[in-house]
Amino acid sequence: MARLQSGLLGDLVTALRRLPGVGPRSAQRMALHLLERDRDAATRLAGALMAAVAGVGHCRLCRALAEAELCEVCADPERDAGTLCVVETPSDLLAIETAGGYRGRYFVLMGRLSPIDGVGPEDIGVPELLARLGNESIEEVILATNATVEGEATAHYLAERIRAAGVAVSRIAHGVPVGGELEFVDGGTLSHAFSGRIRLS
Amino acid sequence: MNEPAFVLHTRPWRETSLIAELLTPGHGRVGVVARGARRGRKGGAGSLQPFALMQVAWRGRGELRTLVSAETEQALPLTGERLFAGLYLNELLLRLLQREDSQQEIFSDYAATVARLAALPAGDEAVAMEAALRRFELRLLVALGYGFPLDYDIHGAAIDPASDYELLPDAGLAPVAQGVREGGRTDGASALAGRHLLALAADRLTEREVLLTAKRLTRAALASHIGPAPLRSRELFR
Ligand SMILES: [Zn+2]
Repeated sequence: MARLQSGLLGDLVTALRRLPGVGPRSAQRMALHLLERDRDAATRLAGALMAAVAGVGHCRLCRALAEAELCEVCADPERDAGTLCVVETPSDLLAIETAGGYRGRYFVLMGRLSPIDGVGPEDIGVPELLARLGNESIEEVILATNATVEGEATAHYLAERIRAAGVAVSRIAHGVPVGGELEFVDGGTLSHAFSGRIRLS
Repeated sequence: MNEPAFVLHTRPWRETSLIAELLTPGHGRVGVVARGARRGRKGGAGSLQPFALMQVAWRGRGELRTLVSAETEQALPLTGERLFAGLYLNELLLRLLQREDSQQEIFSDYAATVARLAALPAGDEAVAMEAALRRFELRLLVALGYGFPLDYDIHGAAIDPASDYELLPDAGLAPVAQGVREGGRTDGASALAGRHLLALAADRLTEREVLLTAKRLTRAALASHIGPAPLRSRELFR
């Protein structure tokens, strides 16, 4: 099958290729499907995309995607306004929400400190986060950045500044997965599990 | 190829892969593609983290090799400020090293410095950490051919503990003439005290003042080689 590279169809294939995990062949298959077999779906997809791009912005408080000024979590009066969980991405926020059990609010960094990639504190919203500590009655910040070198560097950088603002700060524990056997856990995970141990009382 | 290696940096590539910059003894800095490294847990991105001594194998030639295997031999967990120090080392090396330029000494110095950082006692590490970074920088300058004597000036005269010096890029230390200094050409902040330089030459990096002079000296010496863009990891330190 010849590649569709030019004209309206070519533009559509190019646009579809911007989606994660979509290569040239699947983009072409999607384009042909929409135009040959399901024009109705194509119209609905186009409309939904236009509406979402126009109507979905970022929450003023936590920076997660939101249709209103505040996202559902930040607007929910039942959530504990005294606890703030800091995550790297909206998918991390969704993972914690899906797991359940956390009743506080969030702050989404939209990234992590990565000096080599040129990502500094301003790029991940550190000034906005510290401003929230001054404006709201937050008692504890839980740092839920990833257990990568950059996630750890981000957590340490934030912890020092949050502590300096007089707010309690904690780090989620990383270690042996539930159902995991020590023998099969890699060295890095195991040393994390040791440094994050908790005293049994 | 099978070699020891440290990961200096990784960045996402395509949907599930990573490009990793490695530091190796035999091939210097090597860029490899780790296919599928972001997909699963096992042998995935978790095993391609910086500051762990690894045993790696790759195939292919050219700018980017293909990583075949990577096994962690020794994890050297860096925490807190030491993590920032480690990120600084990595940024420095990525800015200074060309790919595929064998640097046995740089590899062993790097390994020793990371191990030293990991072993620093918690809470009281500031001075020892600064000293470790300055030693690494000075040895790196020598290994790259940018070294200069610390106990002799550019005229071949022994450094005088009572005099002040300045660094002339790619030449060495030059005495700051008293009159010139008072005339304001060289501000006091950039002058390097002779007695601090001699302490550095003797590897006595314990006094705060000596460490401050060492930092100004290595910054000036590195500046002409890393280019005009600042090193971003310096922003992380207090
Ligand atoms: Zn929100």
